[in-house]
Amino acid sequence: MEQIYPEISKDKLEFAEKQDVSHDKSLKTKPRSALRDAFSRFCKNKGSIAGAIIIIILVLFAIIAPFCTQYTVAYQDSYFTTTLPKSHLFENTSFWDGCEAKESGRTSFLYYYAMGQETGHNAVKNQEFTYNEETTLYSYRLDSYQKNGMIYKNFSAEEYEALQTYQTESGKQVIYPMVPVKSRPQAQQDTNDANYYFQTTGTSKTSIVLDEDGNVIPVYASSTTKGELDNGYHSLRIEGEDGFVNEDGERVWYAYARRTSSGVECRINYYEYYIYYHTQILQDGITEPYFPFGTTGSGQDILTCLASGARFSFIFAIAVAVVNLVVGAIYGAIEGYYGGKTDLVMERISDILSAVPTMIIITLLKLHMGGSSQILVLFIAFFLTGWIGMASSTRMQFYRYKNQEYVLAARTLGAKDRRVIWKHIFPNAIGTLITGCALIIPSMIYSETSLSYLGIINLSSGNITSVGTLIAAGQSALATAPFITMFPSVFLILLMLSFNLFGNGLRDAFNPTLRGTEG
Amino acid sequence: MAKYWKRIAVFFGTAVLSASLVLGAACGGEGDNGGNTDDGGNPAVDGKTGFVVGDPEAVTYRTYTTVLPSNWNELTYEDNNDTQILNYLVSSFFEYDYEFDEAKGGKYKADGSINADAIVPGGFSVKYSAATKLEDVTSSVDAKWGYTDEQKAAGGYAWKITLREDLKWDDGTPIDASDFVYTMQEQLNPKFLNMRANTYYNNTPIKNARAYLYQQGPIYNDLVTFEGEDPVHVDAEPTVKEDGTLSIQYNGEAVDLYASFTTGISVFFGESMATYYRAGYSAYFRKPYTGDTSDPDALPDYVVEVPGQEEGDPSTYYEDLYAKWAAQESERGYVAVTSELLDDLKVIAQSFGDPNPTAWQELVFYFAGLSDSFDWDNVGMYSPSKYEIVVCLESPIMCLKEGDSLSYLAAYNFASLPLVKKDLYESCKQEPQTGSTLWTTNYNSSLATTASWGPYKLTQFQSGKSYTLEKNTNWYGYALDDNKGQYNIDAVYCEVIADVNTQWMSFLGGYIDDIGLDVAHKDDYRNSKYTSFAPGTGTFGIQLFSGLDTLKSNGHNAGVLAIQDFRKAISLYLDRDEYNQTCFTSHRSCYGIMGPSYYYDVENGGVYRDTKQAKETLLSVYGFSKNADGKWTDGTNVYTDYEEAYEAMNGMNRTLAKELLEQAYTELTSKADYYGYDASKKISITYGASADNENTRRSYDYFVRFFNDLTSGTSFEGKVELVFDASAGSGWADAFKDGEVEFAAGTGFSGGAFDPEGFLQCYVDPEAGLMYSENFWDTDAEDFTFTMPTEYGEFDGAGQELTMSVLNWYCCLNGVASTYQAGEYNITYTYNWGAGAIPEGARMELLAALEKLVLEKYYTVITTSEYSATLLGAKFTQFSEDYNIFMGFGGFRYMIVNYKDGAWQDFVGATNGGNLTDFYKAEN
Amino acid sequence: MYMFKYVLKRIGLMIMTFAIIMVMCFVLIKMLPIVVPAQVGMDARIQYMQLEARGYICNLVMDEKTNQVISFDYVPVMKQFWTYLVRIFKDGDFGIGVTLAQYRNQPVWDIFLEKLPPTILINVYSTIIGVPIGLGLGIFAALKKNKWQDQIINVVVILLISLPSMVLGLVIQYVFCFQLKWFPLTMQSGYNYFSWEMFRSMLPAVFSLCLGSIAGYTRFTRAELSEVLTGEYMLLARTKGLTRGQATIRHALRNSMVPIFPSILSEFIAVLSGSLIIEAMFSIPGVGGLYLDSIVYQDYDFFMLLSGFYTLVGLAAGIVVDISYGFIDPRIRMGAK
Repeated sequence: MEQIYPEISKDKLEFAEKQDVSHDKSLKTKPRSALRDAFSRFCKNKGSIAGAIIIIILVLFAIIAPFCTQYTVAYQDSYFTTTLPKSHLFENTSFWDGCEAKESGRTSFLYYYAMGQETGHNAVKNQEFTYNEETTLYSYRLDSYQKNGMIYKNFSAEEYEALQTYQTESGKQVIYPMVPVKSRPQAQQDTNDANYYFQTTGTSKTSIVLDEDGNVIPVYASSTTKGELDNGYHSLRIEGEDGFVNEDGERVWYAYARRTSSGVECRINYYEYYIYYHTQILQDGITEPYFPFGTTGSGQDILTCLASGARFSFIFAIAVAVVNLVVGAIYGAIEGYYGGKTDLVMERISDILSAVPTMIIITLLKLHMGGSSQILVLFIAFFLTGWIGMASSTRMQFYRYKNQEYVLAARTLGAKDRRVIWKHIFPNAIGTLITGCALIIPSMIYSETSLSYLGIINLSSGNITSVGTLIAAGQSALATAPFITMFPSVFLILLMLSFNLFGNGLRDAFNPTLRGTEG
Repeated sequence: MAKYWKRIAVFFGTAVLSASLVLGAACGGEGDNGGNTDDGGNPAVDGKTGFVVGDPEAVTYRTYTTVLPSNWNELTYEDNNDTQILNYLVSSFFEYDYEFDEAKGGKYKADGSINADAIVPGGFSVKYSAATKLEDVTSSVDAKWGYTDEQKAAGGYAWKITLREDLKWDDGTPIDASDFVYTMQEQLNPKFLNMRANTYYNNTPIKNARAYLYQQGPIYNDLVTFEGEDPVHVDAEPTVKEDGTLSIQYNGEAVDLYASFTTGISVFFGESMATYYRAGYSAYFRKPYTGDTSDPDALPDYVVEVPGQEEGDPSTYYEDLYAKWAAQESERGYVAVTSELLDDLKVIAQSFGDPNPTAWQELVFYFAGLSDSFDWDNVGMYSPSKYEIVVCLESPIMCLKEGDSLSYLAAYNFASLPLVKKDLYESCKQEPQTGSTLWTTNYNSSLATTASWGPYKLTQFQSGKSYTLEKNTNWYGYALDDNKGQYNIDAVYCEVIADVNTQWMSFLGGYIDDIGLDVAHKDDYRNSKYTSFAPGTGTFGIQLFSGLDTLKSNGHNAGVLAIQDFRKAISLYLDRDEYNQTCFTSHRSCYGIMGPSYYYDVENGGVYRDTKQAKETLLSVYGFSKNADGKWTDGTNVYTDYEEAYEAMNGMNRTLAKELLEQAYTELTSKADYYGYDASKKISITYGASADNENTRRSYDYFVRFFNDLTSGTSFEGKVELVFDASAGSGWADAFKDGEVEFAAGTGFSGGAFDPEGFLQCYVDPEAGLMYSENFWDTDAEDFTFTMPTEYGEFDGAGQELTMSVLNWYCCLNGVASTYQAGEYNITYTYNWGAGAIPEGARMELLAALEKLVLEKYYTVITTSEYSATLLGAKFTQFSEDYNIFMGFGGFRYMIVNYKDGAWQDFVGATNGGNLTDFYKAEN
Repeated sequence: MYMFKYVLKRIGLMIMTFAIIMVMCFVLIKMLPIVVPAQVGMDARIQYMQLEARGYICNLVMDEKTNQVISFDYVPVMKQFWTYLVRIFKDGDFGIGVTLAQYRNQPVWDIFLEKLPPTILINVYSTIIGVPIGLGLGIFAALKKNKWQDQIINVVVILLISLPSMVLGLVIQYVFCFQLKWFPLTMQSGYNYFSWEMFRSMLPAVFSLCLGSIAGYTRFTRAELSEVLTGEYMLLARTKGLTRGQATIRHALRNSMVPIFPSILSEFIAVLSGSLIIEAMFSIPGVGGLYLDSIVYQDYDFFMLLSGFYTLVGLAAGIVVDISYGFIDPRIRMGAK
């Protein structure tokens, strides 16, 4: 039967070397450790790379930003409050320029418009406005850095003297003519408002008196001899005035201060005074009011607070996460692996602990520990409930894998419990744990927001602040000044987004079942 | 496939089932107590506009609140949040009204509308409302109320009110005088301990009201009274009664004698005998009588040899004595004096080395005659006939001016008495739960338990959500011609809106008609024509704890606070404008106890702060001094008169402050042990706060900077630190009073705008329980000399220079001297200079002197007075632009309606698609 | 049979745990010091005598003359707890509100029952809307793993999860209620919870809540499902000839239900505590703030009833979850050795 295929010539057939036909590919790649394998799989997933990058950016922001701003967390100012974000790059655009589009009635508009007329520091941007006949409203852009305008301030003789010398040397006018007490507005809420330097009427509400061509009528204090009322003022005078002839022919000088029991009271432009105070008196490196992210309702600089708040939140979250992970994982592992009576008892203990109202624990801690150690209170609050979550998810994983075939196989091969737990079950559970742990940081900040919103904890004692405190602080002015909550919320969103992507990437990377599939 | 889903469905089913189960129970459960089961009862909402669908012709005033009241029961309401419903459900005997100038045509125009331009600015009138007549019956009431002859002559103690005869509840049941008496009996019911009971023995003090409430046991008074320093003894011998106890003749009647070892006696300055002995005074008690015992006749017969007592031997003789008798004391702390006890008392008295044989009288009390259980007819309120009520007061109120016309006091102190609906009230009584003996009531706490005799009645109430009030057609007031053309609002709908942003969206959407102006919206609506600013009476400041012995013992090394110069330096160095700008956003600086809205002469609008005396008081408190020639000087400048000086005063005098600081330092270091000052340690002053939040922290930081500036360049530099402590929580006031915290900022009082003299109780009257300085300033022991002015008219005590205790001055100024005299204070003078008793100018001068005295103690540094702003929607307009002290801006009664409900919905819909943000910015 | 015995044991344990928690709660709240705020024009003595009459403090010593409180001591905690238990079991009376300003002297049980329905309704509606959409999106995202749809859904989900609920609620309220006027700003008052108007007035609050839960479910389902999809038995199922849809539904979804199911249930428990912020924002008369207030103002009866209720529901849910595992994944015998 050997003549089967006579046509196939002998030379077509070669002798196949037995080893050629091998069902395995040759191991061309070098052996790779589990970690390298996981890392390579991690890099495969573009999303998690993006997440990692964002996290790095946020961490860098938290570390570097506080060094490149002129403010500290403890900085506060009672006049520059809810000032809008401003950046020098966008100064003359109408975006990010520290101004808000404003519509208001005549008195409010004139109140701001007159500021620019007197000092050149325009509260109404470039003094441009439009008037709507039908709604009788003026619309204009109000500069939140200049809208404070003038304030009354008490000075001792030395401070008054020092301010005058600064004015003459720097050529920047801070002190403006004083308004006598009797010509200030009578309405109780406006008497101390230094921006009313013109004639006003009305006892319950102030309205402005205009002359025939619609301008305000200044009512400065004046005296026939120069320097009689203002202890010999010898510095800059408005538009270089050196006495003028008033309507009944006398040569009169404006008074630039009012004598009081503690020295003098002056009418000063707060923007200029702020620069003088910080550069000459405090010399704390602040050169001008400049808040890239604006200020909160209590006058704190949002950029600095956000950065140091982020720093605090990161450190605190990592500490809480680590502690929860360690305690939770161990507790859950024992609980899940041994099952039976130990599981029931341990489950009951964690039930009791999780059912205890943390609110009471916090109130009690606060009462007994006094006001100072808010952070310890916060740490205990998160620790008490944090690890239980971790423990139950670990327990869940253990139940899931405990009766898997390979575990049974390992046990039949004589592996002791500890080895089974660490070598076999734990690596499988690591996926969910990592994802869970990755989300602890953002969710910790999230719950810390509601805790400070409800007033249970208050981190603003001392110069510690956190992202949660900032969001809570902005809540009451959400409709009128949304930017206060916007910046910390954007930070939180980026944080959650990045940690999620990163967490997903991690879970795929450490998922033992995926090992080696994508090679 | 199907099998699988079924299981999930099953699960879902259970979830929904269990939810509905609870729900069902809830619905079923709440069916009965919801009250308004009929669907029509609660306002339906029109889908498109979100407005409550109602009769378009009706006028509904829609408002909001952050917290609904829990009960609007006149007897138990707690905070002013509870009064938002209560004010509509009650009427008053006398009511304020504007003063209309007859010359300008009186109150009504021809067409019946109100003649607004006839209003006398700042004027007011008091008119009868639920009552028709008020008579002063002090001289004609029964003698049992114990009014003395001169009280009867002065009058103002007992009043007879004649009610209208057409008073009805909202369901038509008639009301008469017996209902008022029943209500007062329930108000003071000892089993209920109703919260507002104290109004009727503190503010309008009815005879024996307090005794009835507390079913007070016997009152014991010191047998011995004091003429200045020296005690007045009773020159009579005690007689033994049949039960072995002793009694003595005391101004005309035999009184039982009692002793107490655990309650305070005036001879030991309020300490009890036991504590006095134990508090280190025992040295007296160990020494036997060192008089010449050798000569028998030199030895007074009462001297009893102290058994086993040698020189310096610390025997426990007295300790056992106290233990023996203290054990026999009654649960109120008193034991009847028997002859055996009398001998022991003599030994104790003798150990003082007081040779006077009747010295033991200083250790005894006499029983002042109140029986243990106290029945109702001892309480000073009864109804002689169906429509007449008689009220007998402990201290007078001058409700009538000459010629029997009503004075403002009638409508201020005596406007109304509480009234509850008898049958409904009885049904609302709740038994005490097990383990508790307190009866409670839920009268006036839900729709079903509410009755009204006021202009409006409750027609819908949902706990935690909303309530509706509608006109009470049975109210007598609508028929009064005084109310013609008023009360144009048919219904009030109020909803709980806790979130600030939702409140503003509701207001700018036209759903609610008023809103408070907060800081976030101040810039936009400050000058709007819909905004009105109202001055508040609140004045706030810093309390400085100055009790030396506590300061020495609480280990804060802050004895320096007891030095007045140190406290005065704090007050003079504080820049109040800067402090208010930093820590409060809408308040103003204030320097006196009374802010700008206090009236000393209410009849003709005399503002206390504008008087010469008030201004001069503040000048001297804040570092000014008056030269011989009448000019004022602050140490550097000289001002021509007090007006110019007052204008230049801003409460600051930093040069003087630094000098005072140095003087305080020398005083402190020279008597270091007296002040318990340890130079090696820092002076740590604790800053007390009610909570640890942003505001308290900002104020604390401000004062840390303040102390650094204050002490820089002085010998205190670097030695003073301020420590934050908010652990006391809402109990911070007691923490301050006990000296645990020494510095409490932003604290103060409000109210009493028409009675500044009464308002002083917060600073000088320990009985009122409000004094922060009660534990270290005994106003009853400190004397004050003042000459009452004569230029305002003749009155009892005018022109005399008197010296009496600060508390005595306060009591005379408010006409309560006689009531306080019954207590254990040494009230020597009992002038009655209360409101209406003497000319207002004279009272104002004494008031200014007392304010100066209080301020110059510098226990309290006043910093801030408040004002508030509200926006009223375009649907209504306030009756008058200017704030009248009695009628406000015209209030609810005179509110002018611009749009009815239907017209308002159309108007809002037409304005910018229902968004009134710009509309409300308009200014003219 | 095994399951029945296990359930019985668990219920027994639950009661024991519940008792321990109740005693702990009672002792904890009683440890906070009683504070009597003296207000202007109020007689502090009446307040102290009221406390004495309610059985919280005892042997109150008043100074007759100066009307000030000298001293008082607290009634021993266990004695108070005993009276509390007697009052509940003998008279079935859960007590009355004492310090909560809104519900003074009003029976605690009736108030709680009256305020529960709105909270439950809001949350049940949001769960009914949230869960299906969440699961659907989660499955879709898992199936389209790492494709552009998955990334978009992921980003939107993260946005919704991380936005604080107050910001989310305000945006919804401002746009839909204030500008567009589709819904009224606040929930309608009245008790007819099932009328169309009332439902419409609840919708904004329901949306604010369910956006959060949709995001939660989507993320959770995607995570679980994508992990399960990579299992070998999925490969086996496909080789057996099941279509992709059948394999996913029958095997993958069922297997991933193990962790998903407790999250649905814990969502249900969270339902009962209500969201304080959403209820304050849309003025819903629910139980949202009640629990926190009862602790801050130390109203003992309210606090005991509320913590009792929430603990009971929490423990019962724990048991239901454990039992359900058996149904969903037979391989898991809860508590087995």
